[in-house]
Amino acid sequence: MSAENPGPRAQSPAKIAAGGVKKARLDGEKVITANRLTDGVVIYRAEGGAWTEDLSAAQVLEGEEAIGALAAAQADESTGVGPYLMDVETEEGIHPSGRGRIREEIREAGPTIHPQFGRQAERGAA
Amino acid sequence: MKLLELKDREWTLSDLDDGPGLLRVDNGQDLLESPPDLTGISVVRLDWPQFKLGQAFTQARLLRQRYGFEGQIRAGGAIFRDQAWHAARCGVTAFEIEDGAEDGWLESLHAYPYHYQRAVTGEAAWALRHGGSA
Amino acid sequence: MYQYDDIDKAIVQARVDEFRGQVARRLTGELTEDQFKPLRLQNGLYLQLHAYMLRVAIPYGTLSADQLRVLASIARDYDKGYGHVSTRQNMQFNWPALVNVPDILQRLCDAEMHAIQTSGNCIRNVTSDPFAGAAAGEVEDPRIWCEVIRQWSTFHPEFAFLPRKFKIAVTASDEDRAAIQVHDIGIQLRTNDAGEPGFRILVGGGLGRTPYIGHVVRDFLPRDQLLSYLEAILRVYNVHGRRDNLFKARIKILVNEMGEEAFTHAVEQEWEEIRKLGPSGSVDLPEAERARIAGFFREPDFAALDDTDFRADPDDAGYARWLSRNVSAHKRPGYAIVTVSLKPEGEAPGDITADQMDALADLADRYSFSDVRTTHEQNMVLPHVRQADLPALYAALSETGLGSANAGLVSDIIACPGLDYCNLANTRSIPVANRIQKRFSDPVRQAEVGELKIKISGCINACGHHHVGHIGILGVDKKGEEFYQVTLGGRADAEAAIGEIVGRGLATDQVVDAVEKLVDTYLSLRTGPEERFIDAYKRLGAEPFKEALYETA
Repeated sequence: MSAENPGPRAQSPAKIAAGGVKKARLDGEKVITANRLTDGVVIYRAEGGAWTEDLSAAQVLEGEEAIGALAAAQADESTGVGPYLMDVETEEGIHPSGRGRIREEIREAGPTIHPQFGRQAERGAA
Repeated sequence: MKLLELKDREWTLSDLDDGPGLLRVDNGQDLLESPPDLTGISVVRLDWPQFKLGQAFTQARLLRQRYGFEGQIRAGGAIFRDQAWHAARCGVTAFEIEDGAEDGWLESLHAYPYHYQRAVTGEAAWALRHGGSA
Repeated sequence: MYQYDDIDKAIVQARVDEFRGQVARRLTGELTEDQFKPLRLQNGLYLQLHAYMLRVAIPYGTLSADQLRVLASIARDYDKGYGHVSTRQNMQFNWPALVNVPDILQRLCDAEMHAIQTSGNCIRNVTSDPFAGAAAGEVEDPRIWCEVIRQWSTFHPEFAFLPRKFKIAVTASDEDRAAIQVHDIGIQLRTNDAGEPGFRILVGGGLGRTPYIGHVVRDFLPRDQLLSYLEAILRVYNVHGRRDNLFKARIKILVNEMGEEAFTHAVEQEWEEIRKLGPSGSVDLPEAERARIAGFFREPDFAALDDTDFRADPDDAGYARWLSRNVSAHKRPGYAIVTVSLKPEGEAPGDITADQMDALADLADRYSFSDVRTTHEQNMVLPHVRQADLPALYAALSETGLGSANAGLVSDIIACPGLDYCNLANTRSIPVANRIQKRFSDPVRQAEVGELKIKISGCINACGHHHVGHIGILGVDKKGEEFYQVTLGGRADAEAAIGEIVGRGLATDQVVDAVEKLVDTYLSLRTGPEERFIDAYKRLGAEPFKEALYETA
């Protein structure tokens, strides 16, 4: 079966990783991500605190600034559920990186076994 | 805070009053072996330090069914309205609630018209199905 | 099957109304996510990687054809056209929006279904033998007792906030098709020396991060005292189960920390206390209610038929393989039990499309008294098929993509959704299953290998039951890369055992080769085709398999 309740880390206030990703660290570039309350769709936090479905439109943050923005995202539960910091690299655009890379690529694009679902399908059609 | 209390089969709102005769039972206290000292006690307050700490449901049931406590069993702490009918079926007769929250609590307390199993209150479905006798 | 009366209907309807209100309160911010989460989980609603996931209860794996059509309609209207059979006989939908879930629950309610307690720290949907009422050798239909337990456990006021989730399985024969030894409580219907019906009760089995085989706490419990005994077990657990550490909160940890004897003593003592309440306080069902529920599980109107030699020399090789793998003996002459494989090559194990659900519902109406089952091995079953109808049924199943002749074979893999869908997974599971299927694509080769149960979990929570796979595969994260650990010799049948870890983890491109090496080793060492993989492993131990796996790697 799929999921159980998340581990204790999920309940800690300043979560900087999720799911199977252990021991994420605060160094490096981060994007705040969550799932949208109404339908669960993966969203990213843009400048000014708005949420976007488009990773390339997300705000890239580092260090204390990232922690501060995360605290703001966690305080407002009206749109984003379970916000956390994901690692990104910004060589060409914004892409998931670090230990959670595979997970975040799948979240962003859709299930690898069902290429007809998720954003990967829209991109394929475009 | 207010007290939503079962009086003469009606849920009634009153002021919260920690008078004499009140015993606070810790959420982790094991009542399986023996009861707390209930001498002179008219109110037992059970505590939910977190709403998911469900031992207190068992505590309520043991107080009513094993130890015959007939006074008020009060629920306080992090228990919230959607859990209230569970607690009531286990023998809780009063809830500490936020001011102005009573309508929501009453709605939750009356959410279910029937119950499948026998507990402290509320006839079991099987008893209703077979003429109210076990 | 069981049919709701006005009381059942009113209870499930109240649940739908309650959840509709709770969703509204979450959307307005009256409920925090922290408060809402246990409420949505107790209605089967998870938040996964891409979307919400709704787990619909299929109590003890029994569905009517009409109910299956309702599931198809939900797949069509609220999902992306398919559903997924889980390892606890439920059906999961991977794409519903939160705002639509109350409407989905209403549609389920109208068809006498629900998603109650399919998640959360409460007593979960009770599971059973998918061949119940069809296989020979049952004391009585185990689903009678599953329904008794379903009602007792639904909204049990004392046990809705347990230390952790709680799973119960019931079987009624010596051949265990419900994996009762790896459940929190396993119940086997049996008779005592005097011929009276009752139960053997096992407690403390489970998979997850610390796998255990259950202990027998009572070898024989009289039939009419089941519920008071269950209540004693749950109460001891609710009071003494650990809440300080999520990973030590299951009853299996309590049983092993207390010791089997002390735990059993505590349960028996609590049971004595409960019994002191006497008949007027008893939680046990009166005989009249047992009889009412049993009445819903009377045999269908079987025709008086003779067995046929339907297995003799079929012309078509595919049909012959299907007969040998997917058709099992029925208790009544002239009938057979058909396993409908949801493991065609290249699909997610357990997935079934809306169109396939509709087609299967029609076939159930036509050939199996409208009775459909789901299995914990992520397949479905038509339990009562006339032997004479088998050729037509096979043709119809094949036409809709449900004719895979691989039940119990190497391609009949259990796999959790893994990192393609699940929020907790470390690695993907389904692509590994698909690659193994592809390697063993040749049906002749699969048949030659014979029974082999491969089970894949994408993380230590073990939803893919890898601990009890003949070959178990566990996905682990190593510095952001997917690795897989192999276990051998696990099984979930009457001789249940936890598999043994054979060595270091394998990179994702080594897993299929490893499985093939294990299979080749088995083929070279078996005494003959009648010695199954698991039998050979039992005889030989892990050593020759380990050698084969790591000699060149």
